[in-house]
Amino acid sequence: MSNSYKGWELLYQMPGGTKDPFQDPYGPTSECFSSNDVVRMFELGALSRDVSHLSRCKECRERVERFGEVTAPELAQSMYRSVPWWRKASQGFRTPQPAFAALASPQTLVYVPTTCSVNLAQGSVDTIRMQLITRRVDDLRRCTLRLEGPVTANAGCLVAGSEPYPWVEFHNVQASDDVIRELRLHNRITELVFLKVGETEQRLCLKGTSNIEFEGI
Amino acid sequence: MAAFHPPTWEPLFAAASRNPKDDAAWSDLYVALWPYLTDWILSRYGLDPSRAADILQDALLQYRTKLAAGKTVQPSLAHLRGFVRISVLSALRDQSRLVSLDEIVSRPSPVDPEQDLLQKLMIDEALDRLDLRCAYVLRAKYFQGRTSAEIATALGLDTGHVDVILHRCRERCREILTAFSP
Repeated sequence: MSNSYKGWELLYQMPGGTKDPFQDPYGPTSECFSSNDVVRMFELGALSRDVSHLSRCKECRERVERFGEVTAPELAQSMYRSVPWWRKASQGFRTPQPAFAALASPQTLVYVPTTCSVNLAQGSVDTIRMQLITRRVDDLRRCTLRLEGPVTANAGCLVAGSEPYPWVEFHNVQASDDVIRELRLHNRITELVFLKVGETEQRLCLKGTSNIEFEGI
Repeated sequence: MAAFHPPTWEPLFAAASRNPKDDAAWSDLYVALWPYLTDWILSRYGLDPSRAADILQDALLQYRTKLAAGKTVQPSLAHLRGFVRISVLSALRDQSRLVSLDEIVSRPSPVDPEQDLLQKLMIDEALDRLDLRCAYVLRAKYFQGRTSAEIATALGLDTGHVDVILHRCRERCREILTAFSP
């Protein structure tokens, strides 16, 4: 092995040295998730095939749970936009600043298995049922669950079950005017819905996003 | 409908590297990279989630400082990953999590801390050139400190089979590393 940095640079020139590291699956099986898969699931919700794999693969379950525990995007964005980087570097800022830490919250992976029916005349949505793949079941019991975005609901309830992860249900869900207008034009639409779990609207202890398919009735 | 499109990294790196003092461009790069790099380091190195943000932030600051000083000529994801690896390996070494890593190359850690880190970096880089199963079992064993029995359970194999795989994968890793010996 070379003892100079030249060796390290040579490694980059080897096949595979410049490939996108986020595309490869990583784990004990070839069906395990890539980083792209993990990010996609947290942005758009889990698909049936994702949940099916999670039910079989302990490594991927732990991976998803751990990813949800990291709380940095808003923190990093806020710090970089508020403190010039060279000042931060020169002052040796190495740890998150408490003032910004309050903005961050853990994420949960959301799985919505079924299409939701929207009553076009009343603008109401049938019960929305979703599985939350998270370790934070206590937060779900303690806090208020809300849905925001194209549909709104203010009081989700935790449904006890034998599944390894909790299911929650939202009743009295209201669809936005945009959703109703779109469903009058199309049989089905898919929209991104935001789940917020918190003691108050400002203090979130958990959040998640997922695509949900709606159909008009 | 929201659809998933992984970012195209080159334009983000180009914008950030054009002016290392452009906070907005660096913020965009950081925010885009954050979830991908976070999963990458959590899955491969078994880091505590509470440390991941600090480690990534450290790496990005160092990378940006190098760029500003004109010391880095090829801004790219591969290059930034090198900085992330240094931060991660330094953190793992501080936790004494890399004690057995040198077994892969059959030699003790160099006394010089810089050379020691370089040796570990090269091992880590070489693991990425192995097939997925080899990379997984070697990282699980030497970065995350798992036993052969634990790896066997994850792979659905018996422990003896895992030991054989570990032996072969170490050999392949050594072949990659010795290919670049002076």
